[in-house]
Amino acid sequence: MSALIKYVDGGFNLSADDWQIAPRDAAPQTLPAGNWLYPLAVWQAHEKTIRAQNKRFGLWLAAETLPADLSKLKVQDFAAIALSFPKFADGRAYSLARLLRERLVYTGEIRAVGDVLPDQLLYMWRTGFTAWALREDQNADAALALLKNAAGQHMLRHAYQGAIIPPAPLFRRNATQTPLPNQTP
Amino acid sequence: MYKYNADDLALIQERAAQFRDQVARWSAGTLANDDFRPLRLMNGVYVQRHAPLLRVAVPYGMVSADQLRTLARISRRYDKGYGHFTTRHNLQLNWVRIEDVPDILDELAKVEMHAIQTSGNCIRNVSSDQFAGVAPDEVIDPRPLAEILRQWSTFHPEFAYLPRKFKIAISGSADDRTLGWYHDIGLQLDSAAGEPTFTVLVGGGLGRTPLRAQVLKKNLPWRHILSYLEAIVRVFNLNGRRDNPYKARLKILVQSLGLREFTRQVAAEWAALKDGPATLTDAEYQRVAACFVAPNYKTLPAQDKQLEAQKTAHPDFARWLARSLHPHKIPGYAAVTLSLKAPGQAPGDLTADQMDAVALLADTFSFGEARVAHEQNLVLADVEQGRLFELWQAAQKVGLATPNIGLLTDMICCPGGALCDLANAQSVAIAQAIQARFDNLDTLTDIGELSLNISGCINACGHHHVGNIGILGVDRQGEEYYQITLGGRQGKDARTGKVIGPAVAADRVPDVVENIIKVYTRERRPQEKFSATFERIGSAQFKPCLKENFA
Repeated sequence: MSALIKYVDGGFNLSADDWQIAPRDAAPQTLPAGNWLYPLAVWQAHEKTIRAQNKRFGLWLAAETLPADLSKLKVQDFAAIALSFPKFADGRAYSLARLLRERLVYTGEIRAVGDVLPDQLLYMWRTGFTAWALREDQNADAALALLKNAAGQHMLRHAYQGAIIPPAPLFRRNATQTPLPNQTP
Repeated sequence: MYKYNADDLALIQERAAQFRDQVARWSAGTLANDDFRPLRLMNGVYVQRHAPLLRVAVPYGMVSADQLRTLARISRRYDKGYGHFTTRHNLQLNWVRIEDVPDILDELAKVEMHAIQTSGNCIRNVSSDQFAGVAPDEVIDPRPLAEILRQWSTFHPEFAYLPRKFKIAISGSADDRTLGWYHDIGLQLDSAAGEPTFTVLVGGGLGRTPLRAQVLKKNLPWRHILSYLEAIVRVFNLNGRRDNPYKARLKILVQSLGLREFTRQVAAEWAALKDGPATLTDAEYQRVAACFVAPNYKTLPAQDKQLEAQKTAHPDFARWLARSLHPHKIPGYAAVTLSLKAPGQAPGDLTADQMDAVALLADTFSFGEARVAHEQNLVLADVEQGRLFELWQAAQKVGLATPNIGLLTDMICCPGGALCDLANAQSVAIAQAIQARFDNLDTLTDIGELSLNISGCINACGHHHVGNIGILGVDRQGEEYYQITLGGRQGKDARTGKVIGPAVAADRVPDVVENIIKVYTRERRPQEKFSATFERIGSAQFKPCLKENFA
């Protein structure tokens, strides 16, 4: 299992990855025991089986997923939801992550999978991602270092607009004298 | 104009530092070309034919004298001593080295400028009216909300990787000087219900598939503009095509879904966002608007007494005044357009010395500020009528007083094949050939107001579709040809022109333009503008203009 970056307890850290992505044509009963991220079609076809044989299960969503597909799911039941980046310049998952958090109030792990690069990590974080399985050629330690400036502060921690982090736009944060989001270390 | 606070400054400084690191990793080979490309684009860096290009943002066209001096210094030190103003208020430096861009961004940050999101598939620099705040037909000064939109769109984490670029224009006047009908979103401010409201136009654009925008929403209260835009851009982000860059703009999505279905989707999304944290506050509006309060105007008579005598004594001055002035809402003041379309000059180009000169003119005559017009000219918006003569003399000395604003030689033109990788054609050479043909000011003045726009390729950076005469460079088996469209226009009734026939060879373009002018001046009724004549008599009358034996 490869290393991944997680955002927990106010910081970005390397973490062991105990999830695997199930094949699109997987029959869940044939998969070995473990934590599986099931593609939406697999979930839809085998929900009962998956629920019966696993305590923890996750979901894998393609970039083409539409909000209407999400609203039919009990998203809270998933311990993790993976959003796929077929190309890093395909930005659909940013909106999907935000919808999961804001609209469906999903509180579990949202992880970026696929063409995931360090330079996009902070925007992903701001839209609700909490875990990153970097593209294979990427070095996770180098990625962690990139998140900080010379003073050890997170790069681009200032933000004009509200998203998931911070939830309110700058003009509201300044107005109420609320410090920058407490998620920011 | 807007004055940065500590947050604004921190944001652009951090971004410059981040880009410096990205450039260093790219130079060291640890950041691959393909992975670097969108990052440099979002920081204004294109790689074009000869050298990288840096596109510096001039948000909604407002530029201070200090900023102009910095641009002059940068263009001397890092470029070849000139810059090019684009049709969306930006300044392009054509000959920078990527390795120098971090230093340039640091220099820019010192004067509250940046190159953020001037390229890439993100929300671009918000454009507006060059006469904002001074135009008599203005209902609401759009600049405070333009700045609020700049801030909202800057580093928007959800919308940095859209299907395609995304352009917003905002206007607060009865007429439209922002080309709002041909933007992804055109915003028209009004105050119908006693507070500012927006009419939201959606799905316009030029390029390969020119489409006029449609009205998406009327009477949107100003405080909801950010949540409403988020709804639109989210629908676009999730549904816009990503398989074909030519079909990826919002206009194609609106066209394929149909306005009704697109409206339904936006409304559904907005229902969940409305009244959320993005709702603007009075305090925020007032904070930003305080930066745009009227300067310290004098109380002046509506008509300056000396002006008539000066005009009589100096016919050249009278001629320049007739072309260069836009009325001002304060008595005794005028807005003055400085022409960047002198004979022999590439339209929109400005040398470093001229940048310094304009800075001095702005300091001397217009409260230290200037504006960039999307027609690729500069504007001094607040000039006392009594000082126009003095300004004219000073502007003449630096080649910025060509009396051709609004006339045929005030062409909009892209940089073309001399610099741009995409272009099929040497658009600047065509512009100069036309300028040379119409070098007689009396002839130009007799022709009257007429717009001629030139694009070097189908991407339409020169807005050829909306020129009264539009010229588009096309490639025909390796030869440069030019397709002519007629009848386009900007403004409230903006529309695209019609192609009148087969493309012509480069050397024939000045003849063809001259032929078109002959037909127009022969057929027009008194005071009739070109697009009206074209509509009345139709393209058949103009078709023979393309022929070699036209007489």
